[in-house]
Amino acid sequence: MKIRIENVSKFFSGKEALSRIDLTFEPGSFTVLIGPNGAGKTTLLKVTDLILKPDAGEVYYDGRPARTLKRSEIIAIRRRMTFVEQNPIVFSGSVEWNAAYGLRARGIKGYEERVKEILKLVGLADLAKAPAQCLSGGETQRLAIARALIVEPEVFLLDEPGSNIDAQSVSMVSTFIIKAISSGISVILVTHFPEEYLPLNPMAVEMKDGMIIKKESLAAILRDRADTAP
Amino acid sequence: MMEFIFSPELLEIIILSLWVSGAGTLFASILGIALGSIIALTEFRWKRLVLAFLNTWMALPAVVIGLLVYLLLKRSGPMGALGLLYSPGGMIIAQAILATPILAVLTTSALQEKGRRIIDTAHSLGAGWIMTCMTVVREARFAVITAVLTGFSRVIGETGMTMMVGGNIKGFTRVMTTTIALETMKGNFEIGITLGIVLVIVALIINLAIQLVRRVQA
Repeated sequence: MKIRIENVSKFFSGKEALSRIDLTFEPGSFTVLIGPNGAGKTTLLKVTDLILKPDAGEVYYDGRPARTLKRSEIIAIRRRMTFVEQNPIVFSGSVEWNAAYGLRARGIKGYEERVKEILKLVGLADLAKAPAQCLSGGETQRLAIARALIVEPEVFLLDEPGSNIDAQSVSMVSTFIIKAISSGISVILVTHFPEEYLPLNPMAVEMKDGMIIKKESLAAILRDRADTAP
Repeated sequence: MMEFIFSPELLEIIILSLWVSGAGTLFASILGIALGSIIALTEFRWKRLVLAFLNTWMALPAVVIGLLVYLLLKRSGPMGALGLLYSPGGMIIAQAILATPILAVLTTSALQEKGRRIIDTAHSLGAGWIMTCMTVVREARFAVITAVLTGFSRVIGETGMTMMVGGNIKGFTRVMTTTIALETMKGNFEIGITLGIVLVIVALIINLAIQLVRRVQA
């Protein structure tokens, strides 16, 4: 799915969180959003995922403006994307129940094997029956990624998936992101540690104060940073 | 006194008390939970004002609500034609009005913290409107049950308002609290104490239920 963000602004209590953003996410592309805290990266992800409505501008999904979409069409587009928050929440219920949430939302039945597979992949197979709310931070993050990937989205949005988790979970999360990219899923990733994705040659968008200040390859941005470093 | 304790009249009073307070709490739950959910999960201009109004409404003495409902239901009042004054229906309305802000405020505080995130997560995972609502209710169920039990315990112990609107008519609107008040004034302390014990038992059951809900939640 091609997502085009055109002249989008978003305000919170009068403060501009996003300022006239113009950006396009091509199908199968990998984009890294970087910038300091409060730059507007999370807000941009939420606007892209149709969680937040922009106050100005428009977001186009395969050429269709979001403002003209009916409620059922919005749900249909949301079902082609998944979003993993920085500190994801899990619902009360078992780990496997949580993992299958997106499948139930799409009316998919007979998903038991799929759930087993994905939980094995994220190293949570032994905890399948355990209450999800008893998981550690790293396990919760992995479960959130599992429940997002199980639905095989076209667009995968992740907000700082490596923060607040242990080193083992960080490397596992990176592996999933790399797998997702190589299987043709569009990935939009907010991260403070973009270096590890350098081999995948992503497009990088640097933001500050709600604005895009740079938009080029990650390699170029990191090179510039290295050049300007004291 | 023993005759009264083992009489069908006492049973009738207890059943009527539970019925009136149960129905009042049910209506208050429908209104209060809906109101609390709207306040917690949506953004609108007069949100703070509405919350301040609800908090004031919650702090109002029950007799003031009794007076308002009385004026509303009396023969010449706006709802006088319904003939609900001095009837269980009138008592249910008054108790529902008393419990609604309690339920709304408790629901708001239960949902305010996590409700928006639950909705966003459900949406981002592709849930439609019905599944999202079911998820919110499921996640907040313990807090909502606690709110309902709190509302019920508030209204079942109410006397002055119930007396004003219900009239304490024997066999028709006489409930536990109004019977206690009446019998105490007549000097029949044993009957008052008996009904007091029943009320204490009801309060105890409600509190045990709240503790159980909290333990399950933990």
